[in-house]
Amino acid sequence: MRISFFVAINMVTVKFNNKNKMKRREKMLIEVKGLSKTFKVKQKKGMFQSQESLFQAVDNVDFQIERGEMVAFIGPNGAGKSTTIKMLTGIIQPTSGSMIVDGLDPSKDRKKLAYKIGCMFGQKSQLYMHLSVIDSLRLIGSIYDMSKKEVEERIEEIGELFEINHLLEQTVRKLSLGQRMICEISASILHNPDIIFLDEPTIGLDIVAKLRIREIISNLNKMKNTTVFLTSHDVSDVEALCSRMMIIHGGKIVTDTSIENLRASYLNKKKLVLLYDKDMKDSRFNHLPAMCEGNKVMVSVDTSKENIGEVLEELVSLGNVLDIQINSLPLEDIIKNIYERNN
Amino acid sequence: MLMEAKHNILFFFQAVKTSILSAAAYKVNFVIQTVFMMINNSSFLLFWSVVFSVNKGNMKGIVYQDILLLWSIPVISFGVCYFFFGGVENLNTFIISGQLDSFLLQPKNPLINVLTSKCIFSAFGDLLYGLIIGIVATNGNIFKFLIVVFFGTFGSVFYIATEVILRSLSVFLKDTGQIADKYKNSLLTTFSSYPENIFKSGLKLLLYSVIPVAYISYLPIKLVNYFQLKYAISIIIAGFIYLMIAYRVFSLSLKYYESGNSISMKN
Repeated sequence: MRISFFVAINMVTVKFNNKNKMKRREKMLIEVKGLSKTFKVKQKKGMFQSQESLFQAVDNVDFQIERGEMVAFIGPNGAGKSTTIKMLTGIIQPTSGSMIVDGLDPSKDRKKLAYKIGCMFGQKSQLYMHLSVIDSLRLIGSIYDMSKKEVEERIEEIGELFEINHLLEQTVRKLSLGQRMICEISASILHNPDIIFLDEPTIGLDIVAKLRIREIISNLNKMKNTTVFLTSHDVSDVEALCSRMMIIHGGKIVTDTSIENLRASYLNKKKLVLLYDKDMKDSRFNHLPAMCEGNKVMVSVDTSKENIGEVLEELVSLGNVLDIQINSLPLEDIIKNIYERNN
Repeated sequence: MLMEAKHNILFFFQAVKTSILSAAAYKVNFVIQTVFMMINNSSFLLFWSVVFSVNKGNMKGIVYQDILLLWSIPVISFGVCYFFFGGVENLNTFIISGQLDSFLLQPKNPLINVLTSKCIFSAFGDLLYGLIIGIVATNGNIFKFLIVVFFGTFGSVFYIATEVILRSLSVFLKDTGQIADKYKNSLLTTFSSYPENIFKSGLKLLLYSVIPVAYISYLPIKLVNYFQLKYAISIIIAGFIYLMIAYRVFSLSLKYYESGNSISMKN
């Protein structure tokens, strides 16, 4: 009797654990473990000889992304961002490690995965330059096996959502960069993907177009719970859209945290901006790391090491101060700081 | 499996239609290139007609009708290949520049996607010219004309396959575009525009294997002159072998594809 009671308890526990695992799996959209990519690089040695060396583009990367998350994946040029995205989307094969994207292994199930993901590379177009936007979208619809009716309905829906109905009949090559980017996003989400990879979606855009693109991405996440994996050199994109940031440097993830946490960890770093009534170029700031631009002086202070009051006192004693601003370190400076620390 | 094949076929037709629609956006350019190509091809036939008039219509058993077929069947093959599958010419560039990425992100066979990504206008001139000369060469015989059309169209398989093989090698040998161009222009096209009888046995062996001119030109001409099933079967088997090799080489190249980061747009 007792044995059967324990067996029953055990069965219930196993069932519960399995259910939990299933739930976790359903919640996790991307799981990456020990992902690495090495490229062979040939270096010329003399006229006809060359030497082969290995370049580690991505080095043992681990991370997980939940369904509906908006994650920024940033890093300096050559850090391994694009290589990671290309592995996650099945374009290139990893050298080692494992990855699961929406339940599939990109290196084995590239075609199946393509139905579940959308990609927009700011530097590469998926629209057809000589065709109208609507013809491009129709062709893309047929690539994703959508019926004519489905494609037309979806184009109508996207046209209204993104306010691009007036652009549909225009030839792609005649669109402005901002208009083209919006149409590129439309093309990448035509098949209703669960996750969208955006590589530099606002590259080269003016501020109005940038804001429009951000609004579209944000709405997509809110309305369809689409997971967004974003790479951008524009920190304002990251700030406006993402709650979590991963920084990759030299092929390794050096930071993976929420933007709130990142800011909090840099709360002790303050930036003082003082406006004097005279040019301060020739002034002596002693040990303070100050930058002068005419009568404007900017000083970075680590409040865990220095007393901000004493610093202010010293700065005020240097001249007649017209205005003072005390700012937390902007995200851009925080990221720069992390890049420099890892160089 | 069947469903996937159906979707691939539907996509193929949609892609070809889109490619032609792209061409239609430049009507004047399209018409001029078509006409110029037909004039260019006519110059060769004019040359041959002078040669035959000097030699009283027969040169070592070769008659003018054979020359007409030489300028019909392989030219149709060339036209079909580059009008419907002109994207094949860009395969090496796609590989080198990383533009293959956008094809790999889609759930369709990237090879079909690449092949149908471009339509070369002048190739329509070849296709049209080949068909017109085919009508003249077969002298109103519908059966013979159908052989011209079928094997002319099927011959495009050899052009496509050799192009895919050579250009896919860009993954391993950097840019093989120039090698592919030389192979196409100096070997395939040149050898297919001369009658088989003028070549010696050593070279003939090459023309029946590594340079598949025999299946594009010589055997189809024999079929028009005197239909023999064994020739028809050999052409089709050779075509499938070439296609299989091309597909294998392309798939292997995808495994080693390293992408790139150039700024680009599809055509």
